[in-house]
Amino acid sequence: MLTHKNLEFEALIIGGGAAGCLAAIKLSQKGIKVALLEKAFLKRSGCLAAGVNALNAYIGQRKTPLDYARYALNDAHGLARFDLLLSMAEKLNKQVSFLESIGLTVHKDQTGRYAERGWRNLRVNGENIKPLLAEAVFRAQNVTVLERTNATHLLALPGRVLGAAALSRNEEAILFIKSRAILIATGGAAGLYRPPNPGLTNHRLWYSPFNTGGGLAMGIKAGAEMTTLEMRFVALRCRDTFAPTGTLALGAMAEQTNSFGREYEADYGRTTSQRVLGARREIEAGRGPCYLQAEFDREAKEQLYKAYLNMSPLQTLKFLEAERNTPFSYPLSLRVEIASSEPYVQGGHTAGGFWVDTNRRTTLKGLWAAGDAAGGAPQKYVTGAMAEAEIAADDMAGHLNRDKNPKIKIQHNFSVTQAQDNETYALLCRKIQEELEHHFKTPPGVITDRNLTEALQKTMDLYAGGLGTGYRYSLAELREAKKTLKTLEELSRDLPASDIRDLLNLWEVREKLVVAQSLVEHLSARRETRWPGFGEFTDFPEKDDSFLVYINSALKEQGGLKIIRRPIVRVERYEHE
Amino acid sequence: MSVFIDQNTCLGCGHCLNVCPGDLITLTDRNTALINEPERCWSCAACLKSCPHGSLKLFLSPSLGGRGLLLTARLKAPSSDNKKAGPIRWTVSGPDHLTEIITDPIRTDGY
Ligand SMILES: Cc1cc2nc3c(=O)[nH]c(=O)nc-3n(C[C@H](O)[C@H](O)[C@H](O)COP(=O)(O)OP(=O)(O)OC[C@H]3O[C@@H](n4cnc5c(N)ncnc54)[C@H](O)[C@@H]3O)c2cc1C
Ligand code: SF4
Ligand code: SF4
Repeated sequence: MLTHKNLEFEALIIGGGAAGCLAAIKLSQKGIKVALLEKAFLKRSGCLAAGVNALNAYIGQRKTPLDYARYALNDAHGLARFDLLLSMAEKLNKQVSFLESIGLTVHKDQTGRYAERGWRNLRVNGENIKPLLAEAVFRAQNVTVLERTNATHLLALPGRVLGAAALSRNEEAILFIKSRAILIATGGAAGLYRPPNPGLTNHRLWYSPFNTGGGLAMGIKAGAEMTTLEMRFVALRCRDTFAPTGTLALGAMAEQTNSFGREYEADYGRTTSQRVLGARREIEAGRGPCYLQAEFDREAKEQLYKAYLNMSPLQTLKFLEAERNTPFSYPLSLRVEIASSEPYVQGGHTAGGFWVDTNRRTTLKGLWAAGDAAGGAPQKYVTGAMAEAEIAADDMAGHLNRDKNPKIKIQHNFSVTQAQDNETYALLCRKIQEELEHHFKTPPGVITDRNLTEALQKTMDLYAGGLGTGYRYSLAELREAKKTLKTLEELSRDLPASDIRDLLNLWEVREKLVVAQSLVEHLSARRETRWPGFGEFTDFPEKDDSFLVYINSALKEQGGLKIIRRPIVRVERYEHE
Repeated sequence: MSVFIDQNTCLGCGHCLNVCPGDLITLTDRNTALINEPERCWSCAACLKSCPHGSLKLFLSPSLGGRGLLLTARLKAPSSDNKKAGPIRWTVSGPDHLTEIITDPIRTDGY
């Protein structure tokens, strides 16, 4: 069976991406002993694996953080948290300086200032952004990096978190890690919906297929409140490769055109959701395919190739394939076909994730969230994820130092003795170990993690507004989704495993099923269509401002989810009740 | 699936084992690299950049519009005085044996 190991750290960070790495560095600077758990390898894990070629969240010289907050709020059609956006925006430019200080090449103009692209975007040579962050973590003192260590559970009592459980592929063991300050930085959830590319290429997604919603699932199961999951992100990207289009749209000022060569963006509006909708409507009306089109001379084309090598090498390969087939002549009018992705749950571009206060505390004591795992603050990107991590790390440090100071009496609203606490902790660990080991005792059958994943993705695609239905869903369909997901979840509890990799693979589908079920509840609760580009509720096809509230959810004590409607936060600080 | 491993040049050094964001790569008992469950590959090219011998090559599947071109990446270790100096060299080669090299002056982390 599984051996286990008990560990304890002052602070624990789950997920070593943009947010997790920055939080580790910040906590280390404050002298806090911290463990950073990463399911893969710090060097190139997460969304940043292939690199970036721009920092998409930055406050240009003539703008202020308030402008950024307003822009993001407007882009979300009113449904974001002002306090979160503003506090994040205030720390964006600091992250740019930090990244530059650790070696990132940020493009400058002749005067030596950052060369702004638009008012909130900087070009970088960012192939190496993740190795740079990882090196900075490895240089930091007090940080224990645990790679190939996949967190599976929070060790939680009602309302508070005592630690986390993780499966380590290096040690072939289950780790129980006690900590008084835990940060979830596991990114968002891909793989809930049927992907656009078939079979062997099914993991060629826009979002990282390795961000499987683990942090969200752990939080949901521990009773944390989630927000706005129904605002799924649908990415309009280069067809086939799902490579980002910012380089074309912002870098080369390419316009979206339909197959008749007509520019149509102005007809639909320019929020993120409206841009996605525009392409879809044009195709539905028989005017597809749609393209991003721009003129290039030879040098500009070479720059474009390099830009894509910096963040999505497959797209450069696609250009090269096209060029070999039909050699280019200049000036070159390049048309890149665009397509929209399957939906994701992630708090980096949209607002779905943990419900946090301004300090990025979740509703569970001892648990914080930052980056794509945290909700309420869309348009985060790399620098925003880092900014949130810094805010969380500051607050975690404050919390730990307060606790360290014996003069300040801590008021716990529960009265258990240390001994009782230890006993409960041991009991929690034992239950988790049993749950995981159950899979080793299950005899192999015909249900596997792969065919369950297919079933999940097919269900979500058909009944919860996936690509296949043009992102449309109805009440009746959502009811079907709920029913099927419940059955799939029951089946997933008895998946067999013969080694730790099997266990991790089946755990992935188990956590996706948890997130998917919450998502369907959220979709059912928002009885309007606020972001038609991201999804259309066919029973409620219009925007309805009585739904200008946050749709939140949390586990009920007797099981099942309760939906909580929370009024829009327009102030600069927000605290949990 | 979009990474081809050249079994003739792979020396089994294991550098690529420690970079994949999906932790997909292992060594075979013949001591060459292997992508476990290749259909889980994201095509991020992280492994390419870690291979000192150019044995890992990215290709575009026909369903994504590929016709057999292969892309490799070679990183030069940074010179000690200027971290940003080391270039990355991308090589594209095709079934027609034409090769093209794109060099990008990004700082790299060596191998
Ligand atoms: C293809 C792509 C291109 C992008 N390009 C840009 C760009 O050019 N500019 C820009 O500003 N932004 C860009 N972004 C956005 C940016 O990359 C993300 O917003 C940012 O990386 C989010 O940081 P994060 O730490 O929340 O998530 P990530 O950086 O993805 O990190 C999450 C980490 O958690 C780990 N993890 C997940 N689950 C577990 C678990 N259970 N246990 C342990 N570890 C776990 C993952 O392996 C990963 O390392 C891009 C995103 C994508 C997907
Ligand atoms: S391309 Fe990326 S995901 Fe695929 S094997 Fe290489 S490192 Fe792993
Ligand atoms: S890094 Fe290259 S040579 Fe070394 S094991 Fe991997 S593929 Fe083989």
